[in-house]
Order: sequence, then C-alpha cells, then structure tokens
Amino acid sequence: MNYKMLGRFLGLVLLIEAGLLIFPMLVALIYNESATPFLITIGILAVVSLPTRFIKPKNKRFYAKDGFICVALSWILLSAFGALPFVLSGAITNYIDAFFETVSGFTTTGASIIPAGGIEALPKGVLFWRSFTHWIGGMGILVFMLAIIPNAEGNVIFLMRAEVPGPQKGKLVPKLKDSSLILYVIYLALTLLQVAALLCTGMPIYDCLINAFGTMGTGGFSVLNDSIAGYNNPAAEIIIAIFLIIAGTNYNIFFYILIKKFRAISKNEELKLYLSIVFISTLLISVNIFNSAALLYDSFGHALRDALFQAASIMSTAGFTTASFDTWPYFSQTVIIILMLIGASAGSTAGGLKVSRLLILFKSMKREARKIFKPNSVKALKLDGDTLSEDTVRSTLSYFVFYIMAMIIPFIILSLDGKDFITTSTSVIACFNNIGPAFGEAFSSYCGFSDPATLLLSFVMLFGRLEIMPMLVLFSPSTWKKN
Amino acid sequence: MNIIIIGSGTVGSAICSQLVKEGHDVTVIDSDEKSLSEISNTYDVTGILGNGADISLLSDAGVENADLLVAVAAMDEINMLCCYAAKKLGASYTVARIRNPEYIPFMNLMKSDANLSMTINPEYATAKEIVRNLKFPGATKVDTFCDGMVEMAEFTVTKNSPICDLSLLDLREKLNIKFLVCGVLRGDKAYIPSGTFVLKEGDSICITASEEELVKFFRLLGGKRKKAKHLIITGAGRTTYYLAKLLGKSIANATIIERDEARCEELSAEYNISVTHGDSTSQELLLEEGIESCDAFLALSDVDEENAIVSMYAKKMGVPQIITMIRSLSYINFFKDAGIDSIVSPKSSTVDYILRFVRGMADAQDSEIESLHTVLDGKIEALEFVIKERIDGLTETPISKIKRIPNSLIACIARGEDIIIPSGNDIIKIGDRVIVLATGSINNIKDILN
Repeated sequence: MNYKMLGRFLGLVLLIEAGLLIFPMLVALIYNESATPFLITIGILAVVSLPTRFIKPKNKRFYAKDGFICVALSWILLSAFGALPFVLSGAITNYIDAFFETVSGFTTTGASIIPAGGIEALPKGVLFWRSFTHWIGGMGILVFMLAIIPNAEGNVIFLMRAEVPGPQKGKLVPKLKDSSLILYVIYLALTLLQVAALLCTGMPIYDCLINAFGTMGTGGFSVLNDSIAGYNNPAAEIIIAIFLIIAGTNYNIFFYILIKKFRAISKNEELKLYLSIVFISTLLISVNIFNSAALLYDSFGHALRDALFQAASIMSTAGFTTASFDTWPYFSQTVIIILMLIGASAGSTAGGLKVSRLLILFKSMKREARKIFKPNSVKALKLDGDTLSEDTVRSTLSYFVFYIMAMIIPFIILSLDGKDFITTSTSVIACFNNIGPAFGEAFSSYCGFSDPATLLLSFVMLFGRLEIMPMLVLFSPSTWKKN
Repeated sequence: MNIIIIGSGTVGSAICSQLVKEGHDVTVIDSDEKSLSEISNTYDVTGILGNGADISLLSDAGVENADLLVAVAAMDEINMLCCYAAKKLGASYTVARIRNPEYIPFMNLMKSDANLSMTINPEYATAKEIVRNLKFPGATKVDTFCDGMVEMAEFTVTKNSPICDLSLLDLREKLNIKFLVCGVLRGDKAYIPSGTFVLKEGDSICITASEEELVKFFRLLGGKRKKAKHLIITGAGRTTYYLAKLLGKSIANATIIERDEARCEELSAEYNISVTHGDSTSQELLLEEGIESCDAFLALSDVDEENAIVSMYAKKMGVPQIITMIRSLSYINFFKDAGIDSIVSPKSSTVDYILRFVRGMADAQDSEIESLHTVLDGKIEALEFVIKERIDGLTETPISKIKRIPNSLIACIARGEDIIIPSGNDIIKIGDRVIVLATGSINNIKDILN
C-alpha cells in the first residue's frame, strides 16, 4: 500500500470538501442564519487537509487495491466531516444520526433521520448542505477531483473505476481528466436546465436548487415535510419526473448526443430497456392504484401522474414522493420493490443493480438454459451489437452474488433491532440501492432505528453507492496484513 | 496529439507509457483481450478490442481525427494494412513496424502510392546501432547529430583510464582533442558537469565531438587499440544479416557461430564471411574461434539468456568490446545490473525511434527539433535545434553571457561544415544547428533560457 499517495489524495478530497462548504455558508449568510457551523467545519477540514499537501511521495505507484481503499476512505471521511455542520448547528444533535444523514446525502440515498414533519423547521443553510451533498455524491467527488487537478499524478485510473457505477467502465475520451471534465460539464448543464425549468413553474429559486440537486444526483432529500407532494404543483412534478428519468440515463448517451453519434444511441439496449421498464411499470401501477378497492384516486389522470412520478423517482433511485406509496395496493408495492432492486442505468448517478447488469444476467441465463438441452452450443453474448467479453459476463454474475449477500447480511443483523419484517427488509433494500424511503415504519423517516442500526445502515448505503468492492477491500483483513 | 497505437505487446505498451506521460490522447487497439486490459488498467488510455485493420473499428477509434497511427502489432501484414487504411481514412501520419525484409520494397511502393509516413525495421535499426558502436571501441552507446557530423558517445570510466581522477579543465588541457563532457551519471544521479568536476571510477560519461575527434579520443583511451577488426558474432538471425550488409567488406574478418545449419548455409551463400556451425554456449568452441584475441564480441542470438551468459564469459576473457542483444525489455535492467553494459535491443530501438518521431511531430508546431536522443539511462535529453530566427538573449550573445536554466548545456554548434565545441566566447548565429542537453524536458530552444 502506498500510504503517502493515499494521504495526499485523501487530503485533497477533504480540501475540496472545505471548498464546497463555502456554498451552504453563503446560503446561510443570505438567509441571515449563523454561518459559524460551516466556518468551524471548514477550519477543521483545512487543519486536517493542508498538511497533506506537503507529503511528497517518492513512489507514485498506485494499484487497484490502493484505488479502492482511497475511494472507500474518501467517502467515509467526507461523510464524517460533512456531518459536523448538522451537529454544530443543532439541527441533528446525535453525531451518529448526523453521520447517517450525511452518508445518505453523499450516497444519494435520501433516507432521512429527521423525524417526520421536522424538516421545514431546520435552518436553510443546513438544508442546502444536506441536498448539496446529493449533487456532489451523484457524479462522485473523486471524479470531480480528477477533473480539476492538473495531470493526475501516478496511476489514478482505478479511482474512477471504483467510483463510477456499472459493469463496463469506459472512458469517453482517452484522457481521464478530459473524461471527468466532460461528465461534470454535462451534469452541471442538466442541473442548470432543470433549475430554469422549475423556475418557470413558479417555484422559489432556493427550492428549485434543492430539488435539482436531489433530482440530478438521484438523491431525494426535499425541503418540505411532504417531499414534492407538498408543492401541489403538477407542472413541477412532471418536470422533476422527466429530469429523474434523464438522471438515471447513462451519461455516455448525452456525450453521444453532443458529438452527434446517434448510431450509438439507437443501438443502446440499456437505454431501451430502461425506458421500457419505467413506462410499463407506470402503466401497471396507474391501472392498479386507479382500480384499487380503497378508492385512492378519482381520476385516471391523477393516478397516472402519481404512478409516473413514483416509478421515475424509485427507478432512478431518487426517492422523492408525491404519494404515500406505502398505502398503495400490494401489487403496486411489489412493482416498486422490484424497481428499487433494478435501479437505473450504468454510468448514471443512480444506484441499484443497474439495467445493463440485468441485461447481461438475462442473456447469460438464456445461454445457460440453452446449454442444458444443447450442450455443445456456443453463443457469444452481445450487448449493443458488440460481443461481451467473458470477463465482463463472469464479473457481472459474481457481482450479482455479492449484491444479494450485501443485502442479506445487514438484513440479518438489522432484524436484531426488533422492527417488523417489512420495515427491516425494505430499509436494507432502500439503503443499499440508495433509494431512501422504505415501506413500513421507515417510509418518511429512519428515526425509529437505534444508533447501532443507523450506523449499520450508513455503511449499507456506502456499500451500495460504491458497488461493494471498495468497501469490501477496505474491511477485508488481508488488505491490512503486512507482507 | 491524438495517437492510435495498434498492438499492445511490449513495444506498444512501452510507447504507450511514454506518450501518456507526455500528455497525448492515446487509444490502443489489439485483439488480445488480456494484454489490452493490462494496458488500459495501467495507463490513462482507451483500449479497443479488435483487429486494427478493421475499417469500422478504426473509424470508431476516431482515426479520421488522429494525428498519428503507430502500427506495432505482431504481424507485419496487419501493420501495413492498418497504415494503409488509416491514411485513406484521414490520419495525418502513420508509422509501421515492418520486420520482414522482403516487404521493404513493397512498403516503399506503398509509401509513395498511399503517402505513408514512416516504417521502422527493428532489426535493421539495431544493426545500425551496432555499427555505430563498433566505430568507437569502449563506447556503450553512440548517437549521431547534425546528419552524422557530430557524435555523442557514452562510456564508463575505468580505474586505469587516463581520464580517471581528472577535472574536466585539466582533461581539456592534457588531451589535445576538441570534445566536451556533457553528462555524467554517478550512481543514480545524472549531472551536467562544470569545469571543476572530477571524474571518478565507475562514472558513466557522455561526450560530444566530431567523428574524427571522437575516434582520436577513444584511441587515446584504449591505448593502442584500433577499430575493431576481428569480430565474433553468435547467432545468424536477422540482425546479423543486416549487420553483414551494413559492414560490407569489413565483415570478412568476422566469425559467426550459429546452431542452425540451414541458417549457416544461407548466410555463407550470401556474404563472404566465415561461418561456424556449432553451439555458441560451448566454451571450447568459443576458445577455438579465438575469443581471447578478438576485438569485439557480439551476442546476437535469438535467446536473451544465452546472449547474456556468453557476454559475461567474453567479459571474463577480456574482450575489449562486447555488445549484447536483448529482446525482452524487462530483462534489460537485470542484465545491466549484472555488468553487461552495452546492450542493444530491437524493441527499445523501435520505441526510441517512434518516440523521437512523435516528439519531432509535436514540437514541429512551434520550434524545430531536428533530432532527439536520451542519454545516460534516459536521465538526460539531448536535442538538436535549428536556429531560424533571432532570439533575444541567445543569438549573437557570447555563450558565457547566456542565462541558462540550471542543469542545461549548449554542447555543440554546427555552422555549415564546421563543428564548434563552444567555449565562453563563441556565439550562436542564425542558421546554426545547436545541440542542447538538459536533465529536464525541453521542447523549444527558448526553454533553456532562464
């Protein structure tokens, strides 16, 4: 392990966090709130990170393992320091709860520890920081770091690999720095576009920004107690739904649009399946809730609106709500749980298993089934018209196993906390897949869990956001054994 | 620059590593998944899996916007096809590695027809390097500048050498030769020495002079030794063929030992040369062929380990000049540590050649690098510039008055037919060719001004 390089990178990440904290501080100043919590945090971060700038590593070798550990530690440290403003401002008094809230922000989960109905009372600066973490965590802070530092030192390609989700991790252009920069420019442009669109619906600028952070980062923190439902603004709901679908799309698609490579878009199977799933589940849910015995909706149009919003919000793993879907009929709830598990596209800001992995899993399942009755058949798996390497297929299959295990183990542990089956299982699913609201007791707030349980769920979110491996490497004893 | 490399083997990856370091946008194409994923995991490049001669793949890789395509795949045919296709699709420059000598005339045809930029034949380049080294017995590496008018040679200072324990100023007084010590490698550190620098045993030094002066220098250094005449060469591979061709008549004094009988016959049919069929690792045979009295020993067989072992034996037997060919790039440092100091390698020649071409291309935009060599284990760069216009603080200024950056040196000025090893009062004029050395990276002659 190259500790000097690791220290240098982590220091830089924290320095960037200190820089980013200036934004919520400004917001606090604008709204005449106390800026001290942010100022103190910035001070602490500066004291911790500035000395690392003097580390001059002789050996710049940086392997896959170092990359994974660097990513995992960055995320933990970011959240650990990012939680300070919540505690210092008194918004969340318990540090573990504040840590949960920050992890939930950075991992774009949007699961809140703040008791239901208690959000609107919090200072605006703190709420801004809470949602801003979604935006930072959405595309990834290391990707951001790679975009801004002049020619990355050493071999840092593994940093991007560990942070960008999906089975195949290609760069858009040969240089990592340029690739990261393009991603962030697209991300920023889409966010600004959404802010502009929401402004047109008459939403205040502060709320526009918060909701755009939550949407583009696929996070789901809101400033209202009733999430997006609180606005009662159909136009804003439609705009957010559209941008949620956009946020769950692989960013390569936007790059192809920019460079006018429409052929590559038309043969992208993941995009087609992703959009199909969103629309089919919207239809299924809207018919189901409209015809439900409880007479939830009086017009199909309203049912369709809520179904579309909820399908887009859950599939993109944001977790905004316009309807209490925990009271919907069981069929709709099942569809929503399935959407939670699938998640959106690889290379987007969303969580979940990812549609492209689902495609690969289905294809290889089909091939294996075929092998049973035609043992000698040989079939190359293709995705988007290109042959998939057997390595990708194998790693996708094993990821699926890890994916299942990474939910089962915390599920077993969390059940010790004594919550009912639905709450326990869907909390783990909603945290691991970075959705936010779960069913049962954890629909609007996770405040009912004990401290050890919230800490566990915080790490479940980190495992999910970083797609298991970085965290697994960090926690495996063999990593820390001295050879 | 946008550069596409076809082939992710050792040469491809060595080129890749350097080009990425220099900040180019590199895309690598290879049909071998394993080596490709290794390269794209190690370097900041895009890897594309497939056949480099596939037109649709090439256009996916963005060949029409590529400034350069380097074809170093294992097969010559693929390399030729790639370059041809890339040129037709709009790549600005192409470089192909072609090893089979039978294809060279074909390539020349294609060159004029399809406007291909450059081909490199690794074994031929190696043979040329060997010929250069043979001119100066004792030199471990020789590079040429200014169309061959200026030579730069590296060698190691031995204990009994007349230059050992002398300062550079004393050296210049003592020897009546116009030369300049322009770089010293002591241990791991490279120095650009000043006049008071004292040479010590074990230093690798790099000197510049015109060819005649350098011949004089090495003659002085090696006592009565003359230019190598009696050579023993092990292995009759492609490099040996090219060497025989380049050496012309003087190859008549060489003995070639080759294990393969058919190769022996082929070689002796083509050149007037004494060929022995036998095992070059047999001490008996080497003694019989006169290893004790030969002027130079060249280990050029296809097996690296064998070359290394016989070279060590030759060193023990006191052969004054030993040149060892090592094909595997990863072996080179091991063998250097084991005391084999004059190593030639077709692969590293290829890499150097292509990198020089790229540097020349990249720099052609704002200045005129005529040639570029790295010396002393790549720690010092030597560049040749043509001075095209007046540069304040450089031209028409006595050398001693030029404010240079630390660790840089103006090693030589070529004016017309004259070679000037500059002293403090010499000046650089417009139209001169100037050789500059620096430990850092220099892209423009102005970079050396402080």
